[in-house]
Amino acid sequence: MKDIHIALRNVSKTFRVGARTVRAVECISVEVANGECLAIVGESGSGKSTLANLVLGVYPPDAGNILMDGAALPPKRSLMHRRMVQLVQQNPLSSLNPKRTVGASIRLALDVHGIGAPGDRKKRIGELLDEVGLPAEYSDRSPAALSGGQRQRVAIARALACESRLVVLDEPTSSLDVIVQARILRLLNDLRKARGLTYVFITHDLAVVRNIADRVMVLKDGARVEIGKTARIFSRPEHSYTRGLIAASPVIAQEEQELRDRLRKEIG
Amino acid sequence: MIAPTLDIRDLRLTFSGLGGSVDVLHGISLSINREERVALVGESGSGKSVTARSVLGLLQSLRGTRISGDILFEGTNLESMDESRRRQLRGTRMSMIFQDPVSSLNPVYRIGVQFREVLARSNPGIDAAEARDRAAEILSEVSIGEPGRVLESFPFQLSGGMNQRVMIAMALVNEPALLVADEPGTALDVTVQDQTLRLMHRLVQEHRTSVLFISHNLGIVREFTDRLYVIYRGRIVEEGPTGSVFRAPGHPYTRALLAAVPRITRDEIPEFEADPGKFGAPKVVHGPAGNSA
Repeated sequence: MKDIHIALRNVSKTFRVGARTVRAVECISVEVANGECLAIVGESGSGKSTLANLVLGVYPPDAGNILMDGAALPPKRSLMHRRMVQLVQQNPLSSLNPKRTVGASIRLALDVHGIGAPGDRKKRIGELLDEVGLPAEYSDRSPAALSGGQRQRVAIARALACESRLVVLDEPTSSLDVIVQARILRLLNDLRKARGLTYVFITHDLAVVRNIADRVMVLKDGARVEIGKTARIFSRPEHSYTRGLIAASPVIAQEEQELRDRLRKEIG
Repeated sequence: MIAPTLDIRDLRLTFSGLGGSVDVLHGISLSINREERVALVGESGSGKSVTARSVLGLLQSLRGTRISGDILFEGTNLESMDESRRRQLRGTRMSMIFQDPVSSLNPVYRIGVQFREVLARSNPGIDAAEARDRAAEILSEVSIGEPGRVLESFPFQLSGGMNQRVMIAMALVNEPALLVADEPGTALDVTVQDQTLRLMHRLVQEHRTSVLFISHNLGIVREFTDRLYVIYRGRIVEEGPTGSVFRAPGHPYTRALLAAVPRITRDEIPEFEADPGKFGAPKVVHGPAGNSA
């Protein structure tokens, strides 16, 4: 396969909890192409957050390796790696420093990575806010003065500031109301197209996955259950665990109900 | 004529603090008939949880809270009742389930002890053996296979799903007329949430309990309620039988809300018109036959 942005090869990660060891991720291989959106779905304890942390380089894998743009990641996270992979988290209230203004939070990213001339950074912050649909004046506001959706836009702007092409989105809309969620998902999709971004999208919400992801990887107890194109996973899931996940999703429309009923029947 | 289980009339609520006062509810009217399961649906900050807490009488004693309107429970006006009588109702004739089961149960007491405390609310003289039998009986109704082991456990020794089932059993053990369920199951994984809600649904049907179901999740509301009220910024904007509202949402806000829900059969992000300027439109009431009135 050409054009691979990030590749995980037989990656495993084990944690020691007291006397026990927990195999959080077990021998997972997956490749994500440039500009692709890969969703990682699973329930709590499935290993999806560990996988995100491995991609982010928070800790190295115990076994296997991770290649970015064809080069293996060094065991210790470099400043360059931190710049190349950005993270947008579930709760922007806790991921943004409440004591910094919106502009200062974004500026910190520009300063740390030395992006652009210092004199141009104020202008750059305005451009980034504009790109996520916020007025430049919001630069002087504190996160507390913003709504949940606006805060998430700021967190996205900060991720964009680093000019990385790979963004890990960890439940980016789970704490938002449904109307705001739709707007943020649209923004994420537009940015992906405009900037050619690659997304690793972690979520438990299958309907969101269906709407935004190109491919889906289903995890259970740290292992890969199945992987495939989004439309295929939903219409013809191969694994009963995947069927169960889709069949348990709350739905509002008749056609969704029919899909769920069919999958329930297949489970038996 | 039998009085409805719950009849809220023109409930208004204002919180005041250092920064001035905020009107939270602007005259909510909502009723629940016997054995009816009714949802109050809205987004964060809409006033759905404070409505539930007002019904339970949990806000009335807070400083800076001003409440007006009537809340009739089985024909009796709760607002004219004194606090001790109201407290007597909670956990006996009306009970509640909150979003997070782990923080609703006391972490330092075994489940069995907590059950006995709940049972003693309606039957103060209940002895340990009797309480244990009754608790084990209702735990098996929520598909808990080893009630004895669960009764000996502390909440942290059980999974989230198991704790939620314990909460449901505890909420129903005194055969309340009304169950207030505030975002039940939201903190759980989707498969566990689905099982738990099905279980709760079966149980309230069997026990003929009326339910006030507070939720932001339209899919869950569609599946588990008979009738719904949509609340937006402290006002009811639409009400009617659940099927009818989902088939033909009449209010601009309800339409936007429904259009924004992602679907497992669509490969694009929902596109919809959401003009908050129109969300102040008059309330839409669906008739029982399913026609918008």
